[in-house]
Order: sequence, then C-alpha cells, then structure tokens
Amino acid sequence: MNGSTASTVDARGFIVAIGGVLPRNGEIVQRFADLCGGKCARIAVISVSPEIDDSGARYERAFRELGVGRVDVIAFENRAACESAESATRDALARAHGVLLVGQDPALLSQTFSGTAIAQQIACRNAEGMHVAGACAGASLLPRQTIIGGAGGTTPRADIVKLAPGLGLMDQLVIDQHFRHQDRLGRMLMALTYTPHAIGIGIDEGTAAFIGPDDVLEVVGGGGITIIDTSRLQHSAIHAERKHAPVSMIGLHLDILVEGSVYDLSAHLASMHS
Amino acid sequence: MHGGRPHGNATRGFVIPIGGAENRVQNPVVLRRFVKLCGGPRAHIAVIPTASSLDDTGQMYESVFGQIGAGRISILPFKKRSDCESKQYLDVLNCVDGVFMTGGDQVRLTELLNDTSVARSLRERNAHGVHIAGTSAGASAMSSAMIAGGRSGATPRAGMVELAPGFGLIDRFVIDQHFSQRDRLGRLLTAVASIPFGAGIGLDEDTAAFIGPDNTLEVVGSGSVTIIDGAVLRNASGASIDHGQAVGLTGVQLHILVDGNKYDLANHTLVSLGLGAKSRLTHDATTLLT
Repeated sequence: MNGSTASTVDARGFIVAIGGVLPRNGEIVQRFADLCGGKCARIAVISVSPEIDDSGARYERAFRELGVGRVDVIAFENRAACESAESATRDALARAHGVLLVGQDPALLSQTFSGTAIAQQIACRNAEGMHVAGACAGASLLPRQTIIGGAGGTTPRADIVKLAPGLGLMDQLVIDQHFRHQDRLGRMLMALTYTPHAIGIGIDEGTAAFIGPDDVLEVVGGGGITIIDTSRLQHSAIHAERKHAPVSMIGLHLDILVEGSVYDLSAHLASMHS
Repeated sequence: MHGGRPHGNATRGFVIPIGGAENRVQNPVVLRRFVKLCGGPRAHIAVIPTASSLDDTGQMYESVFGQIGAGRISILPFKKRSDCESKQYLDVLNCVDGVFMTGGDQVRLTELLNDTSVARSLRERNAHGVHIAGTSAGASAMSSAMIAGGRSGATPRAGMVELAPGFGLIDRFVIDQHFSQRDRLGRLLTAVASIPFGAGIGLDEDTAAFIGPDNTLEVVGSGSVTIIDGAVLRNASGASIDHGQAVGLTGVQLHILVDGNKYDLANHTLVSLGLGAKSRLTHDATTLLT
C-alpha cells in the first residue's frame, strides 16, 4: 500500500499528517519524498509569511538534501493572497506531485487557508492523486474540522477545545499533534463530541500517519498514534449550563499504534502491517 | 444499595477510591457522602494517615470529619510494622463503620501495612460491611496491582509505570489518581496492558468512585472518572518492546464518567446517568450506533 505516485485515474493521493517539528522527522520526510517520486518529484511547500514562521525554508532544505527533483516554496501572507494567487503559483500547484503544508499556529493557518481558492485547488488535486502532507499545525488543518487551541488534561470539558474550519480533505477525522507531550486527550474527546462519528487521531512528535486512497492509515516514526473511535459511543452528555463541567462519554474505543501497525478508517479496525 | 450496617451481615462494604485534593471545607461532597454512608452522626470512622509524611494529617481529617458531622473519629497512626499488630488498633478496626486512608506516598503505606494483621483486618472488615475510602495514595493502595510510580504522558511506553502489591480491596482494577491534572493516561494504559483481563480506573481530583457490593461504581465529585477496559486489549506491535519505546495497544475501551453516572464494573455497562439536579441538564448528544 505504500505505492509510489498513484497511477490509476481517480485514486486520491495520500493524506499525510506529521506530528511535531523537522529535526525528528527525517524518516518521515524521506518517505513522503519517495511517495511523490523521489528524484523526479515536484513538491510544493506551502506556508504562511516566512517572517512569522520559517518552517517552510527548513523543509525545503530537507527535500533538496534528499535530492527531490524540484521544490517550490510558496508563502501566503493572508487570505487575499490565497484568493488571488498568481498564475505561476497555481501552475506550480497544478503540476506538483505532492504538497506539504507547514506551520506552527493552527488558528493562523485556518484563517489564511480554509475555504480559499488555494484550499479548493489543493483538495481537487488531492482527489486527482496529488499527495498532501501537513506538518505540525498543518497536520491539524487537513480534515474538515481543525483544533486551533484548548487546555490540557485528559477529561473532556465543554470549554476545553476551540475548533475552526480546516482544508476538508477528509470529513470524519479530527487530528491533533504534540499528543503525548502536551496532554491533549481531553480536548480531542471534546472535539469528537462536536463531530459525532468522527475518528480522532492524536499524533506524537516524530511520528506520522500516512493515509492511503484505500483509507488505511499507516504509522511511520518513533512515537505513537492514538486512535479514538466514537462510532460505538453509547452516550455523551454535555452540561449545557456548565461550560467547565466534565462531559461523560461511554463506549469510546482506543487504539494506540506504533510503527508497523495500520488502521483501516472505513472498517474501524487496527491490525499489524502485512 | 448502600451496604447493610449490621455486623455479621455478608454484604461487603463500599470501596471508595478518591482522586486526591478533595474539597474539605466549602463543598465537601465526596467526604460528606462517605460520612453519610457510614451512618452520619452515628458513624465511627478510623483515619489512617500513614501515607502522609506530615504529622498533622490525621488531626486535619479528624477535624474535617468532625465538621461534616461524623459521630466519632479515631486516628490510627501506624509508624512501623509492629504498630500494625497492636491489639489496641485492631480493636478499633473491629468497631468502626468506615476507614479513611489519607494521601501521601502509597509505597510508604503499603510497605508498612501489607501482610500485617491490620491489612488482613481491613479486607475482612470490608467483606463484612465496613466502608473503606482512600484519597490519592490511599486510593492507589486499594488495588491488588498498585501503581507505585511512573511518568506522565498519554502514550504508553514500556517501563513508564512501576507496579507493586497493594491491599487487594479491589482485584481486577488498577487505580490511578490526580488523573487529568497530572496527565496519567499513558501509565494507566501501560499498567492495564501488563495485567491480563485487567481494567483501569483513573480518578480526577475532587472526584470519587463509590464502588458498591454489587460492583456498581457511582461517580461523586467535580471531575471525571476514566474507565479503561482492557478485556479485549492486545499488544499491537506483537513483539517484545525495549524500555522507553512506545507500546502499541488495540481494542481498548474507554469510558469517561461524571457525577451521578453509575457503571456496572462486572458487565462493563452504564447503569444509569443519575437523577441528581445536575443530571437534569444532561441530554443525549449521541445515540447508540452499534
């Protein structure tokens, strides 16, 4: 299933959610570059203004060191820039085998990209076979709903999470990153109560979820990925009048996957990589 | 469902692990419920402050329970193992309605008490109807497999939890406390994974699990109780794991329960949402899909 660039017409490209920052992600970057075609690949690194966030340049360097054929770095200052992109920019996206969206601030990414012409183009190209990766906050932006902030703690509380629109590459998915280090189970669970039947994916630093066109997720990297399945939830209750009250959730299913395991998002089933 | 008071009755007493930092003054819902369960103004409660390294912990709880309205409070200040063979203390345990174990260090508590006459007495008295509560370290010490220490984080890692023998008041469950506040999901998952057919109970601060003789757990307090059901859990990596490496686990069932929720520990099902004032605000956000 780690197929090189999708060859069949109409197979959507991979969706790759990368947790954490670059230095720990060497294996993952290599894997993404290979997926896009290695030396023949054209990869576009998309970011917000480099003055605010320079992670784009660091990923560009990483791809060049791996010998990727062509790397374009495209920075968008704001929403307007995403709505009125130059034809050269749109052309680069139209020809790319893979796009990597980078950023540290999920709220800024959502404000800049979600719902814009560039977001639409990325979604259309992904449906046609272009691979789309998101690193750090960029990973959170891939699904329809993005977690842009919240408080720590394992217990879900109504006021623990802030949501904003994402790129909408996948519907029934919520992605959170820095999962292990920053105690984010509670806000993930709360996000899931707002998005019934979605699957929650919590990604540790130095770890990535490669989601293939067959909706099978493969774990790459040294940490773990926490999968939270709410499809068998028997009950979830929010105290409408008490914003900080804990919320009960009965019947959550949890899988913690490490490299070598896969998860079928359609069948809600974890298994060893075969 | 509150266990019968008369001694000699075969109904076991409640086991009440509390997640620590329970409210003791303004709104002591957990402690008030415990005192009421033990008989209120007629209740005789023994306080075991052994886990604590502070000298006045016993007196502090004596005054708290007094203010709440417990009839009589006895402090059992076990400081060495020979204290746990003392007839004087065992006589007290023989006539109390409830026992309360304070927070501190669970290893200190179990090292002093395990395999002594007092530890045996606690199990026997509980089997005959005496209610036993413990907060923080006192809660951890209740299970057979006790979490002695570990590291925080949500992802289970090999070696992130240390287990030691506890009092065995609760057999099939591992207890962890200060749960949401100290990010302890990973260590509880690691503990559950290492105990076949085990399950874990993670208690937030100011929150208690009242576990009745019918194995129904009721949540009381301002936080939540996380139940990890490991009955169908398996190691997803299928291989041995080095120390510190992330552990893959599949098939974990997770429940988050709040004040008023009742959960059947034997059958792993929600019994009721509770009928308290708070629960009237509750509504079903999601229905069963199956």
